[in-house]
Amino acid sequence: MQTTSTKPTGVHGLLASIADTAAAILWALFCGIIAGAILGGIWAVMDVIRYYGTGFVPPPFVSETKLKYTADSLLGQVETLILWHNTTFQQAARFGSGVGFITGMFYSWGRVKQMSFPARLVTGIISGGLISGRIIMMITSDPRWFLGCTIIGALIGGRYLVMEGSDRRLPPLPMIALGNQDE
Amino acid sequence: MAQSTVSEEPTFGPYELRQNSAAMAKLALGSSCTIATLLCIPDTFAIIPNSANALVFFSRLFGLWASAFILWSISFLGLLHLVRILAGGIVLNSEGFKLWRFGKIVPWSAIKAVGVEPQPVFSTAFFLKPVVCRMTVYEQKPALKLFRKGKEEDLPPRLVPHAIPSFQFSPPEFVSLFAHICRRSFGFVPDSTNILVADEGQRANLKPAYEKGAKQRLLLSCIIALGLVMFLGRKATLNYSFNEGNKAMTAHQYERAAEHYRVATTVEAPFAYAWDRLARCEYRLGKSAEAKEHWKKALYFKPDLVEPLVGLSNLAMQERNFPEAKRLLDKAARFAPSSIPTYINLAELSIKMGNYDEAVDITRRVLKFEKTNGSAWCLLVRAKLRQGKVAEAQELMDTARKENTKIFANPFCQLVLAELKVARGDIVGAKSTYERLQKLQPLNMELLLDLADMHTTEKNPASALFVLNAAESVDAKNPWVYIKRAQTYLLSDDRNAALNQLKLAAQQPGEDNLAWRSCAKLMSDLGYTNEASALEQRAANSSLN
Repeated sequence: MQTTSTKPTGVHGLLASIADTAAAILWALFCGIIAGAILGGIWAVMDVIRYYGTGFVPPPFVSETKLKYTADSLLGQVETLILWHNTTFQQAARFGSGVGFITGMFYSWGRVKQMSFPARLVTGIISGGLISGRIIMMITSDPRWFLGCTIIGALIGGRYLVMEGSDRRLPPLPMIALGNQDE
Repeated sequence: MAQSTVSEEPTFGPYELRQNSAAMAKLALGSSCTIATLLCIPDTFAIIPNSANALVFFSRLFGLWASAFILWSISFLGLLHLVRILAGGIVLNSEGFKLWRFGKIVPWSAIKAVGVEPQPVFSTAFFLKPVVCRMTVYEQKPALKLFRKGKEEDLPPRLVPHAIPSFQFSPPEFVSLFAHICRRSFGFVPDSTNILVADEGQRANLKPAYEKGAKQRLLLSCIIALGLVMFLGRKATLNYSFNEGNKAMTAHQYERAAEHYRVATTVEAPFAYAWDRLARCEYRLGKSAEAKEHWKKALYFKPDLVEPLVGLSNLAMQERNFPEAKRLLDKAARFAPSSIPTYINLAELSIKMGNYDEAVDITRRVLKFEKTNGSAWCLLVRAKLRQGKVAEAQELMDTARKENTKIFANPFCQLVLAELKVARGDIVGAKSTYERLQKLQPLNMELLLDLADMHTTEKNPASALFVLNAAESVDAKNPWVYIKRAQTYLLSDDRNAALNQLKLAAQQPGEDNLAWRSCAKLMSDLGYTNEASALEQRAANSSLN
């Protein structure tokens, strides 16, 4: 029996791909931001509970640090971005929001995997880069490390999501019940 | 039980059975409860010293448990997914099956037995329902040949077990996998999973293979249990000692605190925080050499730890090795841009090195974030005084008093207040402040030098010399003692005595550019130009370093 493809072609196909890609990116960002906000909040509360009754006051944060690189260079701009992030999300909320953001991004992949090739590729690159950039920021705020890991993560993320939705995957094992002797 | 043979299928698959995301999430969540509880055991002991009452104790324990629960569930789930990506699923085809991406094919014909056993203990420990099972597939490997006394002997064929836990899959997937393996290997699908399917004649081989596997599992469980007990016991001792030390340190019982920190460093030598705290206690007890050694040890184990850098900078400042102190503090500021103590020390160092504008900048930056920081206010006032801006210094001191009403509880601030009074010409007021402070800190070197300055301003050389003798007994290596003594002798025009004191000052170690510059100026005033230029050179070198 012949099957007919229902996929739109031409301009409609292109527009559908763009819409699918935009939806995938927005979905990944939405999941990352929401999970980041939730876990960031939870972690801030946890921090208060963990130090409850000890009189511990987190030290104030001095944001006016000298930048290592000049502001007009790429590394300088990355450094400014990292500094903005570190100033905006401080103490426990920084760690919690980071863990939440990474978790949310990974969670979003469950749905993105079933989307079209361009959506998977672009979202894989963007979210892979953001995930690995955020992971490395848990270890160091050095812009060189951040940039390097973001690029590597983007490549891995893009490759993974492209591979995941590929038609070349093996078919899943057919389900059979116990006692079933039929082929 | 239905055991009818099915006809052999010519082609089968290849199919892939991937680990189930929902099953992995269930395992991660189920295990989190147990793991978080185990991880909290050391913390339970650790927070006892710092918990004022039961409410505080249980609240903190809950916070720690919940943090461990969330972190474990997320990170373990992430790890399971990573393993899933790297290992791939179980692949089945007409030849056999392979358990992971890089595994060898287990041929259907080599499978001699398959059994499924429930794991109730594992399921209960990790809150998994339905009960987790382990499928063991026994593969017959070709017989090995043994060369003994030049003869070749055939060893009996071996049965190698392959374990497949059910928690990686949903129950229907696991059952289906079991059914497929049975059908391909034995030609039928059993009615139940609680079964051991084996080829006839394999019983003799199966029993030792099963017993060997059981022994290996038991041994592994014992090793894990022992490792866990040792790990948790060590962590509990470490955390308890460390927190007991912190409690003693807060109560200023430095000897007792040092004892606890020593226990912590013995239990876990690479624990840099304990080395740092031990060094801090020793520093406060006046054991500078030990403190230096232990701060260096803390840095050896954790090179980016800021506190040892600040501590070592204090020692370098005491030794008047200002360039080294600057290097350490700059490094600390790079590692922790939020560390206020680093900036306070940097400001103090800038004043000692004569960089008053820099000191003003640093203290203003600190005050922007901590308006009530008494040390920052007083360092700012001192920097202004050294710049000769007395009116501005007075204004700043008034503001500081408004921002922090308890500012003069800090002895350093009392000292700066007295300096301000001297600068304003209020010698009587300064005297009373100095006297009050002297009762609190009779061996404070800065205070003694300030007092000598005040007596010199009063044209009272006898009192100045008396105070400087006391200062010499506190720190004979401080060149300022001899420089100020020379200034006092010059008041009574005793040029020879002044020269001797300047020579003594020049003999002292350290890289104090301001001291060498003052010494050079006095030498030059006395007409010793060669010595003066040598000292100028030394001052320049100290600044450059």
